Amino acid sequence: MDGWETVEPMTENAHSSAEDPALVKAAQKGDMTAFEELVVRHRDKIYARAYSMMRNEEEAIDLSQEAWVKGWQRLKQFQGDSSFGTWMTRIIINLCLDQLRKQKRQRTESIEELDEASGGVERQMPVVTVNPTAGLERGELRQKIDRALSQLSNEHRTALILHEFEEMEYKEIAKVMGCSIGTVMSRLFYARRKMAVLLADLRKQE
Amino acid sequence: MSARLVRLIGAAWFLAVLTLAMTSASSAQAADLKLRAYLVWGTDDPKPPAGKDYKAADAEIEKKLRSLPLKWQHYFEVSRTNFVVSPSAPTKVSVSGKCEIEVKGGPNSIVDVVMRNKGEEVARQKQPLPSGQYLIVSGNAPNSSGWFVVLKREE
Amino acid sequence: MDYEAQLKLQAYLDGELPEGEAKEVANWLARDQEAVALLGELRQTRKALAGFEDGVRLPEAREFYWSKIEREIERLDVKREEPVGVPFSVKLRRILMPASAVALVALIGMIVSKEILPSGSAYSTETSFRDSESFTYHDYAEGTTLVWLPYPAENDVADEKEPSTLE
Repeated sequence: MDGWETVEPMTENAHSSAEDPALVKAAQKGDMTAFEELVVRHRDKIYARAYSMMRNEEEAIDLSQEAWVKGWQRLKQFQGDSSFGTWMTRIIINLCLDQLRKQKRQRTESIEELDEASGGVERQMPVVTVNPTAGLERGELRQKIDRALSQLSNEHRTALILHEFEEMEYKEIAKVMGCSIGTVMSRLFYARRKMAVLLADLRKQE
Repeated sequence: MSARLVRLIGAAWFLAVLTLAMTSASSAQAADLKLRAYLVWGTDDPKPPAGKDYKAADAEIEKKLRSLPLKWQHYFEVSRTNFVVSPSAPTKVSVSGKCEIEVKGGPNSIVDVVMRNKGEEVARQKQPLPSGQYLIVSGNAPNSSGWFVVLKREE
Repeated sequence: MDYEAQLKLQAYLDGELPEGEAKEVANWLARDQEAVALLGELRQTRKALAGFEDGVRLPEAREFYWSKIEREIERLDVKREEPVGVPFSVKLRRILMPASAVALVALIGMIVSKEILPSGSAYSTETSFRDSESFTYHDYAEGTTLVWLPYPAENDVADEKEPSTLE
């Protein structure tokens, strides 16, 4: 590759025992096998984030692979300010947001989404007091949350994911989503209240 | 490729560009557009707020809004106006203290609508608006109500 | 409890309030059961979501997943390398001649469509939004386009007056 030194790639044994920073350094010098080890370590997390946002397995796989290719191309820009996993997560989030924006331009809004966007319903929902996690196995809870997340609109789900999973502050979410902090707060509030109702309803259906 | 063919393609290009320029000049005359704009308020309250004498929206406008998947029960007309738009003379519609819409005319019955919030452009919709069709710009308003600027092309 | 208060409660839960406001909310919670209940619900939802992604596994075998990434990286690396030895004028001719022919056909098509089609119909709609919460809705049967904006923003409710007049 242009401008890259020729170095001896790390051995496979060295890969599995090396810390991420060492693997990143080797990959930055062109060691593809070091990069492969990084992919192996972080692929589940990157895929999980893509799936949470896109709600489609195939799309999530494609986007996560695209994220890895972009990660390789931009590796020299990685300064180590954050962990490699966090850096990759931001790449996949941006790819997912771009894809969601493209999809939004292409489709007509459904009636439900129009109603959700025109707002107000979350202010009238009665407070849910039943604990959605009580008595559930982890796997069962994950399934319920999975179903509930699919019922949120892209914007509400994204705000929820960026806050609850990515632990971003309101200001950061506003920047990433290209909206005001007030909009972030409204979306997050709606998403949380809707999740509470959906999880409670899913429990009632058992 | 032979020199003759190259000259032929060159000549065809020149003629095509000339024809395009002439047809564009004739059709691109931006005829002024006559529009009617209604400022409408959507709400679940059966009456307008105290002190406001808004009347119920015209049947035609109400029917148009009800054909859309909107949730409100009642629509009141806040105001209406007829105006002419051209590229050189945009018309502004003030929705609230912070939100306004600017409408310009363009060639081929195009309306170019720019929406501004706090002085900043936040959206733009540019499209043909043939006679009898509607372009509605809308958003949330206080107390879970909604605002609508209904643009209709007049003959 | 009004909407602004509900959002403040959420901001309190999320640690987004300045110290003074956080103390006010804490005092408010000491005397308002409705607020306590809502905060409880928001906390429970957060607790339910915690660790949700931890158990998710990529549903593809390692080698298969990696092979696609590797192939794409190699393809992009090959694309970056320029071919050597071909004169620029030859490259230009190879591209320009067929491109000219295609462009000419397209141009003729454009001229014809401008003459045949009624005004306006050859023009497609252009939409641009700053905020991803905005969207358009078309009802072709009714001849209506709805542009939905999130403005005035919901948390400006307290400051907003009723919709005002046209000018």
